[in-house]
Amino acid sequence: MQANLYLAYMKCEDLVEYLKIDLCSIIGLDQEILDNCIRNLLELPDLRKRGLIVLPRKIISVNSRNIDNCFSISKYLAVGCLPLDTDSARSLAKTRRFASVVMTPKSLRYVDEAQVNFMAQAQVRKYIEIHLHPFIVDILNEVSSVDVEREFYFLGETIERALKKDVGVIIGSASPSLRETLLTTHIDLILFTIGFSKRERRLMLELYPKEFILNWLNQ
Amino acid sequence: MELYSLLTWIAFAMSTLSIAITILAIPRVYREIEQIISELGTAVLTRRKYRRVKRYILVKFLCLDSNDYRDLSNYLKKSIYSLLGPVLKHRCNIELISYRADTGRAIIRVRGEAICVPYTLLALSIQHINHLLGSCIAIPIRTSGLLSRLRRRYLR
Repeated sequence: MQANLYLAYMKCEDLVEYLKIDLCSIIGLDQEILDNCIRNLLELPDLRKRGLIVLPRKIISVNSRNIDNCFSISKYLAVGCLPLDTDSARSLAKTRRFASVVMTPKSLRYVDEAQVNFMAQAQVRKYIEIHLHPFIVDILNEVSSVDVEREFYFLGETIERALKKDVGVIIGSASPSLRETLLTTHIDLILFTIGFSKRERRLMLELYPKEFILNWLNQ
Repeated sequence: MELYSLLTWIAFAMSTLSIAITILAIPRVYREIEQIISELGTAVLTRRKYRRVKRYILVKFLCLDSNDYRDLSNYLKKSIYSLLGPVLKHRCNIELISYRADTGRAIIRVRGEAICVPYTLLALSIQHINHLLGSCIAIPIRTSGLLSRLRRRYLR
């Protein structure tokens, strides 16, 4: 029962095609897309048999001033907060409310091992959510001068620290279209090349997502 | 009697001399031995053989445009090499063993160092983001050291 907790698709056709290709049974969709595509989803023939779980999501970029945006709608949507400075990352890690901190190349500088330590000490369970597509785009981008080795090193270190301290790590592909999609097999392989064992990959792709949904519903 | 004492003195002097020579020569001998060891050591290290492995990867292709299935096999190898980079060519060899256009399944052989296999798997799983194979998405299904283990799934 594998999960892809955030698909950043724009079109309904992409979503329907994706569900035909991939075998994952938990997906997260942006609220607006879900509203538009709910009909297409219900028309899928084997939806019942498959037991697909669709999670309404929203990814919000926050800084130290507008951090409350993250919590105001978290009852209705599983919000992922993308911190854009150290203050917001720290307060997300320390807050007593349910939060999932998004990690992309943009927020990589702020969500580091120190924040993971805070998350491990927090009373409420915290999750680090990793969006893989922006990282992969950085590998393939020949023009930009981004230090990709550094990005992947910090990504691996942070995930490892989080797993060691039992902070939840969930993975989303966050690919904008079907042509650039990352299926769960691909996510699994990318984690394998970063250097995670079979058990760790199963934790990230199966167990933590389930726990994430349960905790979100129970909050 | 005097002859004996003279001989004793001569013998004493010679033994002192030989001890002195030995003491003076010890550092030099050590240096020589060290040099020999270091040379032999590097020679042993440089002659280290790398383990050459051979793995077969079963890949399924999904093309959004069904015309792409036909000419996929022509530029598959090139696209993987373009992602691996020219330097890795001297340690990794990639070959398309067989390809079925009707089911979109292919078997790829990776020969070379063991690290080549995860590199190839990564290259396969991210190539579609650069649209290197048209509209096709590659899904690696299984890796094996024996071709016969993949055949059943390949023919399915």
